[in-house]
Amino acid sequence: MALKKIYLENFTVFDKMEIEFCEGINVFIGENGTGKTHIMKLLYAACQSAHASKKVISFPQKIVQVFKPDHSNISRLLSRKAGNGSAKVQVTSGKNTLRTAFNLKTKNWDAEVVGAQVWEKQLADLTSTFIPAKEILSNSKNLVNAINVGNVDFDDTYKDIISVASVDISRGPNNVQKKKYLQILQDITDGKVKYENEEFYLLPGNQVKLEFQLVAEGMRKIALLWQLIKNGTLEQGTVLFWDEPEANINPKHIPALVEILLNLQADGVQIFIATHDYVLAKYLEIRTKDACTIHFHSLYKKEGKKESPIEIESNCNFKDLANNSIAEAFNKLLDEVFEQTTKG
Amino acid sequence: MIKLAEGIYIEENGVYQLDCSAALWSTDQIHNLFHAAGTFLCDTDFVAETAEFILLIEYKNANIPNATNPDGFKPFSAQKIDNIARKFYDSLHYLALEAKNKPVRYVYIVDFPKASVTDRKMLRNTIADKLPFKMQQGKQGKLIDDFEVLSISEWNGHSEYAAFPLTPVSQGEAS
Repeated sequence: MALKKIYLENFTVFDKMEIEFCEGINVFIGENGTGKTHIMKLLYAACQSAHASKKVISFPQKIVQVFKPDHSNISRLLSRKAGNGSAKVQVTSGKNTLRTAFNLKTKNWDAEVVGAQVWEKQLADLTSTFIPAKEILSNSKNLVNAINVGNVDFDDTYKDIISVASVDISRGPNNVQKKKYLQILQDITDGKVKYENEEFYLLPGNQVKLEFQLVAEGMRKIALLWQLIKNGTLEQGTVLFWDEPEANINPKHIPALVEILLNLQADGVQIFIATHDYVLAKYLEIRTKDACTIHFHSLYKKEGKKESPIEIESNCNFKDLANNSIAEAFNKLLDEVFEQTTKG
Repeated sequence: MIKLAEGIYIEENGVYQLDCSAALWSTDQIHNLFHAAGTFLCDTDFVAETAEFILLIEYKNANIPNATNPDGFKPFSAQKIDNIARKFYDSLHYLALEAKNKPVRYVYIVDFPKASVTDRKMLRNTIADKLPFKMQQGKQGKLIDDFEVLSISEWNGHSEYAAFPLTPVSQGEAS
């Protein structure tokens, strides 16, 4: 069942914020520090706390594991302006809402939770995947163990993606659509992904396998997508969170990436993306056949007011956003180029 | 363009009309003059004169029902870009013949599906590279004063060009 809405109060950079999502592709844009990744991590934590196959993990505990506040203390995520107030996070799917609240006195992840039982029952079979901005599979060997014993400090989004990507089987129906995705991705990366002895490799054509560290970062990200489609992680009814998919990817591959995302959405995957990239956002806008299947959510502060709260503007069309930090940056550059051309 | 009342013209698709009745002088007859003379010159759709400047206007709207060949409209194609630039240069001959000596501004009014401000700025910059801005730098004379690419709503909201509104054709005003 699709994620429908999130409500935040006094959480990190948010005073009060409510966002409604579409069942298709939700694209977050906004300057650094406007909370795009925070929202996606909260939604991911809500999904992960429900999955029946996971060890029992509460919503607040998962929040702590994906945000990694100091001393694993959820109260560190309380907005600095809240003072003695409480933070609230509410995620809605269908008719059910999962709620958590905490304040400065809350220890570790011992936050109040409401609606967990019904939430777990409703979303028990939901598979959710978070692809972090930084590609991590090339460092996967022993990383999960090192994280578990506390030798290194990575948030759970990194640990989880390694676990999901290391399922090195072909799962689910090998239908025409899936084959088409895999072929597109294989063509870009010029190879297939293999997981062996806790390490990821790319098998390029007839050549010997290449350890991921030797593969370009952008290609590793594309290869990861290939792996997730092949092993059935991304199929109907699942949720994908992808932080800055454009990072390290040659712009010429963005159209193919967009086609994959639109096809995944058409196949029933709900997708959340955070991006700074004009090319990606524009291709998503112009290649979407049904405007209602994509929503752009712009997070912004009122101009010239550093202390003002983060605000939200949502629109089915990227071009119609009145507050569009990506377009603004491009427009400024284009105006400067024009000035040089016309006035020297 | 079809001329209605004095200074009011209907564009090629018959959907919008341009009201230049506030201009000192206006015309859409460049094409007829060039064609009658048997030249190969290209022309802008429209010219208007104000107290301060001459305005050359090229109009294209691929965002309306029954637009003339909307699928064939590729605003960023090299051919289209060259064509828009060429219309400016060729229309300067007409201005010379009419002894129009005021600063010349060129405006391309264009609407197409999913076009944004950024898209129009990209189009503006691409076309501007082919106009004589660089050529005239350091020279005493000036061929072009300014160039803009505007949507219909941007044109109608412009501080100077809103004086010549581009609006849906009113019922019963055709002559």
